Amino acid sequence: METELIKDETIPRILEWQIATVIKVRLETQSVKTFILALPNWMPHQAGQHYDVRLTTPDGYQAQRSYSIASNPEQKGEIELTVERLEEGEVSTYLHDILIMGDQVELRGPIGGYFVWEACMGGPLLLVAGGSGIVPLMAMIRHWRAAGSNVPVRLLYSSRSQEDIIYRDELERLRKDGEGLEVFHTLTRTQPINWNGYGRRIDMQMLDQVARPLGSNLKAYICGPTALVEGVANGLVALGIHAEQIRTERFGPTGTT
Amino acid sequence: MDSMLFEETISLMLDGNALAVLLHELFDIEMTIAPVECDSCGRVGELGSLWAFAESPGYVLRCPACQNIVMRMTVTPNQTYLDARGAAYLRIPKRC
Repeated sequence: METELIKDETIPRILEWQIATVIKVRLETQSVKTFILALPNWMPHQAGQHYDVRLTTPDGYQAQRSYSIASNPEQKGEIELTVERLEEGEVSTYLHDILIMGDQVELRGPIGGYFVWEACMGGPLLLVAGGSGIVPLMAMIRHWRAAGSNVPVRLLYSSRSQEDIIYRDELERLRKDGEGLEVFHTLTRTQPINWNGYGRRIDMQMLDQVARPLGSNLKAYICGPTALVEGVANGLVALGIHAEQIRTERFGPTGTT
Repeated sequence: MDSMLFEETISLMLDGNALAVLLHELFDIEMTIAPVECDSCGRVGELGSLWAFAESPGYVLRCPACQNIVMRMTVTPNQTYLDARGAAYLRIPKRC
């Protein structure tokens, strides 16, 4: 079985559960943590894929959730999962409140092949995120950087407030590197004094300003709450982008920004 | 359709890629990139690009172009029901 998994690379024949070990926990924002996990059967993933996390209580009750991979596939032997703590969340509250370094957790993946970007797919890339929808897009940005891709990338990222921006420092560093990443923030609830980003929900004018310089051949990836994804996808189509150039990952109704 | 209901339905919508594990278990291969033709309007697109609804006893995949129900799946403890009458065809990738 094990040799078969290795042979099959990113397409495991059967999705096998494995026991990962938490090697580091990083606080990203007040309600978001990144868990760095060592995997005994690690395999390269595609940026945008996710892993299932399964929890089992002593009486046998199981809960599982799917989380996007935040790390790039060049980071071997481990993966990073960035998880937002949802007040009503069965799994995210456990991960946030209980799980610490050295703990073990059941995982299976990588899962999905549709909402993925690899350097060989080219660009230019338009990435649009709402809240923790940034996570799979960050994997794409990290992969873009690690693979030395030279396609232009523009990220439009909607958060509630400055404190809620996930990966803020890393995005700023990558932007300053001048390798072709441009980052546009919009803060929908509160904006700090002297804020020079956008300060409203994503609208047509904003989309047009961010997307237009990339031309009409861009590849768009949109991830976030369903309402945001719907609005952005429809907006891009109205701007003349073909539906086939747009890939979406909707979160459902939770986590509105 | 009642417009309020439709808006509520839209807010529950996911993408076909949200059903990646279920489809993988069913077909024994990653299926979100498998092309499917809508039997109603003829749109061809990956399973991952369909609208997915999971807030029901089963799972429903709809065509994003015409809203036709392309596939329905229900999982019971011992079996999975797959109703694909809304698909003209499904191209399942061959394992290499």
